[in-house]
Amino acid sequence: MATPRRTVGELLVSAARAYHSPYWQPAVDVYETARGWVLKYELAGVAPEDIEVHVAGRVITVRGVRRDLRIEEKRQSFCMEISYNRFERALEIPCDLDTMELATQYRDGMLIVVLHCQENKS
Amino acid sequence: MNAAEVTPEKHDAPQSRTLPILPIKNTVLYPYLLMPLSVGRARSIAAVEAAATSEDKTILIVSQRDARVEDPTFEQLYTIGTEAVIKRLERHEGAIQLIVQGTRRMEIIEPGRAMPFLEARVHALPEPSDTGDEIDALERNIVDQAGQIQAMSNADAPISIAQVLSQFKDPLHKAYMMATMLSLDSEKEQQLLEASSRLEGLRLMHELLAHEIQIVELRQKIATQAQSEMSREQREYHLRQQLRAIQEELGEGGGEQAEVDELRERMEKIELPQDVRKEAERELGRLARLPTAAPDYQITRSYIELILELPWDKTTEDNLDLARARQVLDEDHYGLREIKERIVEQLAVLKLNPAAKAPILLFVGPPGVGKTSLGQSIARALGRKFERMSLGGMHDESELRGHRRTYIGAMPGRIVQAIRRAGVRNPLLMLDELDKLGRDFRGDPSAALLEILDPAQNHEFRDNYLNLPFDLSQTFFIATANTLDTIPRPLLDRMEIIRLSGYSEEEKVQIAKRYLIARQLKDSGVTAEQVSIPDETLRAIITRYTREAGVRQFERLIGQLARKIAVRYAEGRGEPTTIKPDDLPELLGPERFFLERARESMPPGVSTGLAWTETGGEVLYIEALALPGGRDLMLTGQLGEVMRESARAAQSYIWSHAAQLGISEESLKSTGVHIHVPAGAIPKDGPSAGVAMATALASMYSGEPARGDTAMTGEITLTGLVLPIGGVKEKVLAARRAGIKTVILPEQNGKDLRELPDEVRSEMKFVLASKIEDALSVAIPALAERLKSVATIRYAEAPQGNGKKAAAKGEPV
Repeated sequence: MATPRRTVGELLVSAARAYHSPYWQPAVDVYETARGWVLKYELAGVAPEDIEVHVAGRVITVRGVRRDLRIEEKRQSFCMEISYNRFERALEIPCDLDTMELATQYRDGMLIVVLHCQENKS
Repeated sequence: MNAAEVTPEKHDAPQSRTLPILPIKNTVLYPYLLMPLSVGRARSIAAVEAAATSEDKTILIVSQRDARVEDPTFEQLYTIGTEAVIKRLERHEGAIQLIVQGTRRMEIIEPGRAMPFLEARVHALPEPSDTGDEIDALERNIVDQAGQIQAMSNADAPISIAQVLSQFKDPLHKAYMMATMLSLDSEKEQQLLEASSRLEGLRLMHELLAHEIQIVELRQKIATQAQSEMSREQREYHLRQQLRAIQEELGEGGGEQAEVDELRERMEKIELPQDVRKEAERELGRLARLPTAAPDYQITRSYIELILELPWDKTTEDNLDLARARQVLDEDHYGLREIKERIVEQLAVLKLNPAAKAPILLFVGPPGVGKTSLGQSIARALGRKFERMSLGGMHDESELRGHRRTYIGAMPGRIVQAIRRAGVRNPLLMLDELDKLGRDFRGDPSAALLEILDPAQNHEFRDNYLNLPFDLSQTFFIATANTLDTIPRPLLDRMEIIRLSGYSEEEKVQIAKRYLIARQLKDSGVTAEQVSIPDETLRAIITRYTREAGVRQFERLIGQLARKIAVRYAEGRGEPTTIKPDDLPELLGPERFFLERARESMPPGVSTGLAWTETGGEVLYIEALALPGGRDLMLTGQLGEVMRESARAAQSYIWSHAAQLGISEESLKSTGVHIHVPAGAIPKDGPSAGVAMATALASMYSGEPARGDTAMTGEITLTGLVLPIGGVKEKVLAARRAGIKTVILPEQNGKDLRELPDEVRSEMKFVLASKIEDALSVAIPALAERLKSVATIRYAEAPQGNGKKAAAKGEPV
């Protein structure tokens, strides 16, 4: 639910933030373009069919599951830094998304969401 | 819009599934919360491995009922736990560090296998979603309580609990967060996890927090109390620091704290009896509070120093080697057999009974016979420390026993001071000149000595200054005196009296050869090769230049000789010299005393008496003269009352036995008598001249002279008995000096002859008289025939046997 504009207060409680959702959050890049917005989610290792994009009002939510690949002959885990299982990332975009044209593309582990405005942003 | 409104239920994991189980101790993981875990148990590691290998990294976290169980079974786990996703994993030296995040509550519905890890079929429990006013109220209350607890326990946390809690939208999740942050016991935490409705969970949490607040309050109260305890001491410390700063500012500072510290340090190091330590600590506490300028400061400080310096428990080991002690005593002193034996006896006693009380001896004898140096020598023989104090002229009891500390300038008594100097509890303490103790209105020191010298009391001697009992019972007291007459009876009673009589000429020669010559030559820097003093020269010095019982003057004269020789050597005309008696007038001046030769012939009415003085014995001539026409008895020569009475007794006896002695009654009636005892300037007293008086009178009345070579001593009674007297040795030695060959003694003094040197005993004859007639028939040869019927003349046995025995024993006599 973070907005691109963060406040100092939010930083202070960043430690506590993780608690309000049990899911991991993929990293995201947000660009404003001449015609709207481009969102880029880092979702390596997630099967495209496990990704779901949901739009409601100004909020666009990407959620899904990252399932680990089975690696043969594994005997011991030494380090695990990649988050698995369910993820969810909700972003508030300053325009009415319901009226926007939405296109998704999954390429090399990245999910790209392109939002094109039908009119000027409010 | 708000992310929470997004319902993420589409990707729900299955409601029931099989999961590996990770048991945890002492805590509970709640849904939504992150928790770092360290996993070390083999089955737990296996469970984590299984979860990490699964595609969704899910594991069930369940708390143990008992934290002490190392390898729990299903029965030892709660049945409700939390499904969690492993967020991070790192393996570290056999253990695995995890960060897990809870997702939902789950119940174990069917335990599965237990090896290689616990695994069970689990079923998700519904997330409580009840609402209501009470829940809202409880929620707010809980946030308030949390803030309260944080404020009380940790005021400067970087982040407020309320702020953290505001991140949670679900009131139950706030409760979960609170439970994690507070250190609750795990049973309560599990109860919260198992709460099936928000209301139940919040009520529980509210209750727990209320309890927690009470505990924190109580804890704070205890802490405050402890702090106030401490701050009282701290306050005192700070005040003292300030005081010192002020004193330093005033220029009176410094020093004293260091002094107090130093005293305290010394006190901790030494051993003190308990009550003494208590007293010392009390005084030290006082000292620490006193400013240096206070008059009490120095008093208290010297008092503490005295306590610290006194040898409360320090003793020297006695040297109990009898042979060595004998040797030491013989090295230092010639003769004095009786005293040496007494010391050896004491050593033997100490050897058999180490706890024996030290004896209290009193050496009585003329000056210069070595009483004081004998004390030193005894100390050396015993291996004890030697301390000496002179009581001469002491007239104040406080000098012995100290002044009470209330007086400015108060000091401990001489006894305690001597002990302090000695540094041990068992020194040999010599009390010199006991007979010269003074006594006046200020007190009677002999009374204080009564306590000090009483073995029954002196183990708890209390000095007025010290005011603590000190044990003197191991102290070896030796007192010295020239005469017993001035010593109070009760004091005499407490001591063992040992008499040192004067030395004979022969003894003096021996003493000179052994000690005096060597000492004086050394002092003058002359060697034994440069000068030799043969025996006859020594004898000449003794008889012609000195008249004393001891050897002080004798030693001075030897010193004079040595110095004369030293002058010769210093002037470069020295040569090895042997000093002959004829050289003495040149070196020492004219003879000071003419040898009191026995008068060759004496007129009738003169007899030779013997007297004892503090400086030894004297020969006295008693002169009686008939005064025609007079009837009285006149006595001159500074005679004391006792002596006057004994003269009267003698006269009465002679008168009543006139017929027997062949004296005409006429001569008794028509003549008065004058008795004079030279030298007239010296006061004389005592009963021991009775025999000599009777002899002088008998000789005068009968007109027959007494023998010139016979001296006599003894008290008489009216019925003519001769009673024993004291000072036999001195008297006999004086008689011998005067060249007298025969001494008439009371029969009962026969035993005293043993004290005499053997050469004296073999040279002289001793008549033991029990009646006046015995004495008269020996002293006046002309009367012997007339008294034949009543007199028995008994000579003392010659000492040969004794002497030989003594010589065989190697006694230096």
